[in-house]
Amino acid sequence: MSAAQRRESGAASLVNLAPRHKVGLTLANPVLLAAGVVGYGDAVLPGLALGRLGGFVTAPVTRRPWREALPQVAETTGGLLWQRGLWNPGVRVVVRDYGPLWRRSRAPVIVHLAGDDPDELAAVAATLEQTPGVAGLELDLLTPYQDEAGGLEEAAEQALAVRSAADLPILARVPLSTSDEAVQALVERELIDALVLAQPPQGLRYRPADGLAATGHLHGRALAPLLAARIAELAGWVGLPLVACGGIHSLEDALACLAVGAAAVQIDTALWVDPLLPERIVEALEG
Amino acid sequence: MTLTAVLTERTELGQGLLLRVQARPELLACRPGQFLLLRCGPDWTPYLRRALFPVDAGHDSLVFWIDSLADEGIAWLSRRRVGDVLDLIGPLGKGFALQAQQRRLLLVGQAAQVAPLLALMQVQLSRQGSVVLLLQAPTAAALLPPGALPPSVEYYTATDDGSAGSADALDSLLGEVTPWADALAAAGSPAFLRQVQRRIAATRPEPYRGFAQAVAPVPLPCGSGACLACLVDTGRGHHRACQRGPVFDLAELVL
Repeated sequence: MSAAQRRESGAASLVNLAPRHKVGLTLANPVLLAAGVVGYGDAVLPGLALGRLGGFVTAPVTRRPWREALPQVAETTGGLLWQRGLWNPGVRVVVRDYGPLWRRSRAPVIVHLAGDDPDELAAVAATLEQTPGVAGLELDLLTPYQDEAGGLEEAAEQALAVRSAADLPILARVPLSTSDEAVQALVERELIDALVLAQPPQGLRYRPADGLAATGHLHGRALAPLLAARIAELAGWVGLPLVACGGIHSLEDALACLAVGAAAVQIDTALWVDPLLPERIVEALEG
Repeated sequence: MTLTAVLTERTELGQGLLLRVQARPELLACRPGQFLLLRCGPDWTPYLRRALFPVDAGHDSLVFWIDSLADEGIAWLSRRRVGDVLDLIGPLGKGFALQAQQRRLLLVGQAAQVAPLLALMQVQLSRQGSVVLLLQAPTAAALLPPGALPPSVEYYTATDDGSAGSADALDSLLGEVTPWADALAAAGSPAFLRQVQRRIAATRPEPYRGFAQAVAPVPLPCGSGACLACLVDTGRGHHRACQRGPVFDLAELVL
């Protein structure tokens, strides 16, 4: 098959992020956008062709509206801190306002569930299962350094609640610091379909000049090698598709993650600076 | 779409720089109050694009006045030379809206944020309207030099150090000129815009919705509405300035 034919069929790039799921989560290519970087699919810079990508993960959705501290962005050297919180109007309004867009989307839509309470997560998942266009769910499991038994039980309860409420593929996003033992325990319970590495770490920027400190989730290119290293460590034995998320700012970063075992990559805040990056990666993968 | 533009002219103006870039028609469509996002080099430091408001648009070029070198991204731009290529996205957001019957335009701004007001000034002059500009700055050096403005523009200044109009001058000038105007556009810090709101409310007995517009004083980091750092409280909910603004009716801004 020629490169042109491969491009036409997309066959060379097809990825199933949920091979154990009865429906699966098949992407036309392994290039996704990370949670929230295009909002709910409504926040797209000119030139970004969402339909060309493997899919996108939405901004967080909770059962009820969440409007606490106003989101902030603070620049760091080679990156930024994004204090977004869970700001969202609640699942009912999200589905009403963005459901039509998801239904029309050529790229699979993966909705990012947020919250700790299993009942709340289940309620959101149940609503989303009934929403046309939703291809999968992503949720954050564990917090950094919380992979001891108690934390694992809590994560398992959350995953079980979502699994019981919705028959949609589940991508679990865990911290980079999650131990091998915790990953193995999550995988063995068969409650998730793919593992996303990783939740963005928490950062703090302090400016001595004015004494102001900013905190938020750290995004930036320096994370890419950390991510690739952890993917490489897990790829040999985890047995679930691994999705690399964080730090990918170039074709080389993406290829590195895919080469060491990632089934797909998620581009995060690099998109805001280089909105053509995801499509360049897709084109390179298609030959 | 990311578009390239070529820097064709670089002139010192006041303590700032006037930059002219040859741009494609898509970028030239940037209306007063809309903005472009500039990538500040290929090295991801500074990381984010910077919002730029053109001060004027010609048939094949855009003009920018940059006067705040405190920002790392704008400082990067100030080091560009004629012939350098810039990477821009836009136009983004919604700009000012002037009705045909609004003939007397009052512009009120702080020097660091004056660019979108200057673009609106050009539009108003091109349709033979009248313009008064009240500009406030820390010092006289930070003001736009009077010679840079068309002679038909009435220009008044106020400075924090009193070197070009006293700090109180702005408030009294606003009180004097507001009744003359049938449209007002403002740009500045939250405190500055609150001052403008108070003065308009005191000067005009009738509600001023539809009379005054302002550029929301919020950062515009992503330009798409994803980051939510540009949320603006309108009293009837929060709105993303980069999508619904950055120009809002001044009466609806909760500052």
